[in-house]
Amino acid sequence: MTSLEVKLGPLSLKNPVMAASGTFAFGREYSSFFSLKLLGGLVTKGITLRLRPGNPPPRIVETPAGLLNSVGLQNPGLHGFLQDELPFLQQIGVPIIANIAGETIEEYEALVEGLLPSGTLAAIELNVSCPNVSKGCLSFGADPRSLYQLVTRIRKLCPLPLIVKLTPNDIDITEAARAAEAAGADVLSLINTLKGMVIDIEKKKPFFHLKIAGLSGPAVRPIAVRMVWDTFKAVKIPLIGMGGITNYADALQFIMAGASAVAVGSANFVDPLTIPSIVEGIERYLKEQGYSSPKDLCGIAHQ
Amino acid sequence: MKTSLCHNIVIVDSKPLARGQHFLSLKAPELAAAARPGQFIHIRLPGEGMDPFLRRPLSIAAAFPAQGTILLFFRLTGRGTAALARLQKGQLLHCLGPLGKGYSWPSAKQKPLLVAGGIGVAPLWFLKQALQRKKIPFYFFWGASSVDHFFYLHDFNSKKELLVLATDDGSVGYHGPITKPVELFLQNKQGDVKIYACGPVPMLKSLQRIALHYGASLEISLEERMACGIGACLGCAVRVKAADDHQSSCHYSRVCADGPVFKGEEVILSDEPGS
Repeated sequence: MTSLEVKLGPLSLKNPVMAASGTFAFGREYSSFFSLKLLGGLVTKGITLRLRPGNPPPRIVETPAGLLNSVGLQNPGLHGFLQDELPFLQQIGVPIIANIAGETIEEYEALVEGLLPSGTLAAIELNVSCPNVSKGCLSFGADPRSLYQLVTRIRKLCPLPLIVKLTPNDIDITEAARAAEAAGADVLSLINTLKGMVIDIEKKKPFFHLKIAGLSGPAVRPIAVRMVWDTFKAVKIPLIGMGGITNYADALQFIMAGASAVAVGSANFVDPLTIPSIVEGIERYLKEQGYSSPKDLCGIAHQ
Repeated sequence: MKTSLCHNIVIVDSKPLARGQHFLSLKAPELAAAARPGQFIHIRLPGEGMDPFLRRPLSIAAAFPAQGTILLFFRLTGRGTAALARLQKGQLLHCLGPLGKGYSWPSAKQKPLLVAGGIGVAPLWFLKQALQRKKIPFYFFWGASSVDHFFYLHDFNSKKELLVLATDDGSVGYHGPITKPVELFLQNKQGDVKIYACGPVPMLKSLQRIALHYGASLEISLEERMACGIGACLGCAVRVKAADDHQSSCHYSRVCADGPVFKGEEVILSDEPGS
């Protein structure tokens, strides 16, 4: 009997395929394409304390087998999320994970305190890895001491499962992983986008206003798989792997490298039905190979 | 599973239009029945690889529900459009659509005035088709860099429909921007006019000024780079005026889902995007 259910520490998912933060908004748009009940979990767009308009356009550019984005955490803010987005998310019936981003520890604390009373979130994901904002966020994720401090403070007031989303930029990701684990994180998710750049040769200037943007898509997949591989060896807590997953075979690479679950990001833009097709593909693979659970494959490539 | 926005479509005709522009006719019965002028489809380039990665958004230029076909007119601007133009008849494509918010219908009192800049003619061609079907008279202003950029000029009824051309090089029609004849026309025109426009940003900005000055209503269709095309990624942003009219505060709408058609007065256009 095959079951797709996975446990990530205190967090249970009925299948291991989630929608990655920042690529799925708050779910509404994709509900025109498939029943969101098929998701293993939904990680929201990054939420900040106050509304953020986001960066001026241009915000995206296609790159070889991927894209660079400089959206800049456009979101309705904590209040807007609670009022306009959470009611829709609650009725889906899958674990909803709120991704939060702050400029200071106090902002992260205020976000957690503001989100807890809703009582319906499955977990909090700390975004310490967005490369597209000028303050906070990545500055926590790229420094093990700041990260330890932040996660320690949030852990104290957050009874929900706590996920820390790691950055592949400016730090040895295993160091960040150890710091987050030591500070009490339940789960790690990796990777956020890689810092990248495009120069507009007509204007002879960087394409984006903020010059550097975040690279995602299949182009980053081998890097992401390697980082999951390394991090799996470095920590004991479960991992959510992501970075350029477009089909079930890509997803299995992450699982075999050590991820307990995966998240799909940029591929949703190309095919809105990517996630349900990956769930089906993993189930088929497990049956064909005679495994009863995705956890039997977690980290199997290390053996 | 709801998949009404996902379609497999087949190329039934593919040919060059005018200079650097291309024509595709696609068998797409559901799209042909559902599409409204101003809406677009988001096409996935065929192939096994992941490069090019993203879909390509293209305005629908006409729909023929009885035949189950739609038309696309597009300019060859890069790898994606070049690849689309190379595809042969019979090629199967996957697309999402119809997407976005289209043009709103003119009121009984409003006379439609369509203003196209270059290949920005595509969504307006669909609107023209819809107006012709309803036998609603209209004015059509079309600007391009040179005479060889125009196509299908015979597709107008010269008795009922006013067609005005302008070119940057003066090779046909008015020598200069198309907005100049639009303005001259409005100076001498009585009654309500509703302007529908699609084209380069400087043209749209001129029309914003002209519409305000002559009290005409204006709807513009915008073009922007898109990833998802359905409103989730927030990649195609356009600055809009805040509801509270605070000039200092900054708000962005999604071109794909809140547009691509916007009211002329609601968007803040910038030649240098975002600056």
